[in-house]
Amino acid sequence: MLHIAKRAGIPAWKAWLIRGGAIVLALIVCAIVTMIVTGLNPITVFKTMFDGTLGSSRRIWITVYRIAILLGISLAVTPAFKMRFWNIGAEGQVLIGAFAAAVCMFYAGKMPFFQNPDVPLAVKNLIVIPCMVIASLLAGALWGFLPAFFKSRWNTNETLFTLMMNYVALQIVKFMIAYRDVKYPWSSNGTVVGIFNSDQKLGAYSVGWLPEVAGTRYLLPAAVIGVLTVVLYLYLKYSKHGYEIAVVGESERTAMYAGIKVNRVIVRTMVLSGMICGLVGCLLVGTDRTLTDTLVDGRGYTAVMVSWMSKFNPIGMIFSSFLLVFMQYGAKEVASKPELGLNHSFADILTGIILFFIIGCEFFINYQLQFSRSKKREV
Amino acid sequence: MEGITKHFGNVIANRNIHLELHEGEILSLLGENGSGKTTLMNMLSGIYYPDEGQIYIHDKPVTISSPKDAFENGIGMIHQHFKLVDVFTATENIILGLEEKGMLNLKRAAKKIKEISERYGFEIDPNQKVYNMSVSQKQTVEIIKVLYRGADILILDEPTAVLTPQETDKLFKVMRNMQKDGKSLIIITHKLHEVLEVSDRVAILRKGEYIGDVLTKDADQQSLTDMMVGRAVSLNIDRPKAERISERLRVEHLTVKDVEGVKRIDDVSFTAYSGEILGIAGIAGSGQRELLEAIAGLQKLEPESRIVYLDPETGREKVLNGMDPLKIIHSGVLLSFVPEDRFGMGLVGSMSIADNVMLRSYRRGKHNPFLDRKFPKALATRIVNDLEVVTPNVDQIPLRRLSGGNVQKVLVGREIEQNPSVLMTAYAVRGLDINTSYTIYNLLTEQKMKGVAVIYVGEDLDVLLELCDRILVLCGGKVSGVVDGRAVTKEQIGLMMTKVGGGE
Amino acid sequence: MWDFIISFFPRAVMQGMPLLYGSTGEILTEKAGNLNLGIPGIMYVGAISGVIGAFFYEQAVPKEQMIGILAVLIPMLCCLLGSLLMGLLYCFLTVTLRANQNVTGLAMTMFGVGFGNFFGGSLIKLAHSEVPSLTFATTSDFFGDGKVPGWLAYVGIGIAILVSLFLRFTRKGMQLRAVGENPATADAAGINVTRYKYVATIVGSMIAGLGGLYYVMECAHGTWANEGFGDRGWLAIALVIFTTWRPSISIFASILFGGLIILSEHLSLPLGVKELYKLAPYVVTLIVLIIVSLRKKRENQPPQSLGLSYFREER
Repeated sequence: MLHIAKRAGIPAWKAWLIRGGAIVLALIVCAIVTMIVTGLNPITVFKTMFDGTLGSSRRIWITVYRIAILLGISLAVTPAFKMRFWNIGAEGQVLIGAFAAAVCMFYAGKMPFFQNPDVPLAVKNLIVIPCMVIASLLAGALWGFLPAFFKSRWNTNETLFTLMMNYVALQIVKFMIAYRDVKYPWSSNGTVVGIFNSDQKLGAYSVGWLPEVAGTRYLLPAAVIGVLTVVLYLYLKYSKHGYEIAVVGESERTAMYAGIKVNRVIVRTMVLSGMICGLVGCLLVGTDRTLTDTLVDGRGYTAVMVSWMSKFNPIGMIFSSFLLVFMQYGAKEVASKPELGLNHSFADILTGIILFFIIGCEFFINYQLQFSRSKKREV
Repeated sequence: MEGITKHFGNVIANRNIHLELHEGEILSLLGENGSGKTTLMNMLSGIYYPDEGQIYIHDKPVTISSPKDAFENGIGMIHQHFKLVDVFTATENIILGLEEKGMLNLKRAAKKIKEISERYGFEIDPNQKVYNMSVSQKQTVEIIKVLYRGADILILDEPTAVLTPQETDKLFKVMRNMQKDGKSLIIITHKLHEVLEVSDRVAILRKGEYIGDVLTKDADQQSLTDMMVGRAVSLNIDRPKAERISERLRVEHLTVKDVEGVKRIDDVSFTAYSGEILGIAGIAGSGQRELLEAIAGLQKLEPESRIVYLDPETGREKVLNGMDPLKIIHSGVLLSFVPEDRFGMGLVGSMSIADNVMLRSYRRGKHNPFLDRKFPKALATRIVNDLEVVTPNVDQIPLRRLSGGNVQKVLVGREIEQNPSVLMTAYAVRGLDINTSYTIYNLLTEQKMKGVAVIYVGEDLDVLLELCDRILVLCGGKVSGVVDGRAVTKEQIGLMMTKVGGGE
Repeated sequence: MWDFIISFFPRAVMQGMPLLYGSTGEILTEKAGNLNLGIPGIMYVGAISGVIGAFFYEQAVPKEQMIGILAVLIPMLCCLLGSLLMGLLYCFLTVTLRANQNVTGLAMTMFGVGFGNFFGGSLIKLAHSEVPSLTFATTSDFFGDGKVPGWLAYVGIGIAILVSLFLRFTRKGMQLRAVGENPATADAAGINVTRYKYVATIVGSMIAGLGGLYYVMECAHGTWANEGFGDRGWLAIALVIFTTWRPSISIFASILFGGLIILSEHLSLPLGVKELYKLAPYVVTLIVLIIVSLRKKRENQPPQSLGLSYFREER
């Protein structure tokens, strides 16, 4: 008789070995699925994915940038999850942060001061970029604050609250894109916003764009997220706040007993989560230099899974983010080849398969299968 | 049961156990906490599955791999923690899981429940919702549930722990009625006088192993204790009298309402003195938890309540009303609190001993946003050494992996290390073996002699009578009396627990 | 005015029905203690499975020879099968392998939406369609005329009533609620917790999947467009809370939500303002969410073990 028992504990290396095994298995299944659907040699497909994501230095930079963004959002949701606050509203928090940054960038470009060609760009950016950062931090903080406030006061279900807030943010962005402001319309056709401040002839050219470092615009956001990773790691592990978050997550009553103000910790942590999300939104707008309603593209949800499958460990999240970005954008690269007849949703299927394997493998880390001995004797 | 063995991870809960139950007898299963009684019985009732061994019923080997199998073999268990659905009525809970033919017919079921109640002498309202029931009523539902299924073998897991002496007598009467009806009963307990009172035969477990059995008529308290603990333990708890006794905490007209607006604590007034242990007795759920939490600043007080703390240094009065735990700490009141549900309140199971010790002191260094882990680690090491906590390390292994006794030592050790002037403990020895319990008693007495006002909420009346200087008895959230621990008898307290003023 | 109501109400019902299917399925699932956030994905899979069935039936048989019963049954069976498999996957991961329900649900939604759009896109390519959508006018005519709610709407209401009665008045329904409230108790009472969770979740998924099919066949009158289903799956989950776990109330609440959706099409608003108006269902849900949490009524609370895995030997 097959029997399930809980493991007393498992060495960390073994746990990571199981996870690694699951990923390898998942990749094999992905290869088989790809083969069936496309009829291609999986090696060719993986090569296409590899070329698409890491094939040239430009592509490597884009991949690094995408990893950084996903990692940033994953970092943002992590403190809340450690607190057992099921925030699935990163999508909206990033988007509203991006929106706030975009508003700054767009309207700054319409102001006479920024249109004056005599003022150096550095001076303009020195004013605009901090404004963008602050605006996006505030917007994200608000989106994080609202669900936390209601959760802490009246125990309102945060999962649904944050979910609804995603759509509130989305509709606001859609509104802004579609709204035909008589003086300064955001878009010419009501659906697509072009690159902000992109007219080279105007003085406001490139105002609010995040500066290029070492010849690429992707280095700066990646560096910001890199610093953030270290900071958050230290914050969660070594700070008093981090300790309070862990206690609240484990038992609210214990936290109250120790004199920790649970409501305050919940609100504070969610505001922090929202602020990091907002900052990521700012990085997105500052680097992409435009705003679309698909800017976040489901990464707010993917980040939930990245954070969870890395066991809330910021270092683990780097690898998880890499894996998911590689798979998703690699698969999109495959799908973009017209001769294969695929579409970009193929990436979601492959990512889904990988996630299922990783989710499933946790079982083998926490439990073990035993065969009842009495049965063995009979055999 | 033959050769039953069960592991949990690396821990052996039962090792090679042989146990027999005869028809129409009441068997007591005796053992200290953690001796594997409940685990063994859970294997009979299909909650756990044995790793090794075989169960026979009427000499026929049977496999019990689910509670359903147990029912089919006529085995029913009444668990210590009731397994009832709160939002269901008594009837719904009783027929839950039955595969009877036809549509759901609650009226017919209620009628059958009435019949069973009358036959064995229960009192029950079949349509009452469980969340409105008292503990004893819930237990009745559990027993009827088993009888409704026609069980011949009933297992009762520490049924008297939550009952008053009067309710216990009632239960024993019902048990004898069932025995006369030809049913076999196993009662798990660690209260010796109950063993002697109700059972025909006693089987003893110690540290997961089967020690032996004796007929009750051939046994007495001393012989059973010897078998249970392996060596004779003095039943006397040391109770010296402290010299300096002064007022430390005065509670006046304390009233606390729960979320539904029901008064859990109703106009309670008393004074706790330094240098004494004030015991608090009462049936489980009489407001003990709310009382301690109210003092600790974890409950909302009604306006007429007053909690006054008298500073031992200055002698000045401080009113604690409306303060949360943080404010109490900041105002310099040295209040320690050992709550009843350790992992639910007081400790964090997934953290190490050091990180748990830090819970009380992590704020040190006000302007440093980072934690100081050196100091708690040293403190944790001291607690581990002083109280003989068995653990591989203090800063890695999650607390949850330690045994209940060691966990409790960490908690009590941490609270004492704060140098409190008031120390409150709720069920500090629940689930602990005798040796650890004595360690705790001694620690409390030591604190008392140091001039601490100790408040001890307990469930074992024998301990309360031997440990405490004075005993406050709660009944339904009201004070039914404060008595001298050296003069009062067990029966008097038992009576006071059931009705206000019953002792006078 | 009267004309407006006449034309408005049936369309509100039609917009509401996919949400009703989704929320009924989710309520059944949650009553067993499983918080299935994969419902949006499952509805996509249900829809695309039905579409695939309809597509190949329309390809194989000329228009005049199509038999009503087959034209209805083939998409329905495909839809049920697709959503059954999704439900099975969710159960395998969360019940058997005891994975985190939130994470599993989100992964399933990602997978399901991708699955729907991928095969939708493939079919559109297969059909050499000029526009990025796919139409089955013939098949959908068997479901209804696209103007008033067809028979599948009544089936949806029927299912909601049945689920409501089942939960309240039957033995199995009572046992299911016990599993969601307190699985340890249910287990001790001899109820097979695993089986109840599996069956409730899978049946719930199948009901939700039908909601996806309903959307394609009636709301969109046989037109599949990628992303066309939108965020209705999330609205269905919102409905569950909105109705405090009561499918009978969900019948009316879903029509209310449907009304909010349809109203935006009736009102002639400027493009931007219209987007702002689409905020309404979400804001209304948020408000209800807050109000329900303000009134702490015991009977309105979620099932107690919602979102938690059950392991018998947990100590």
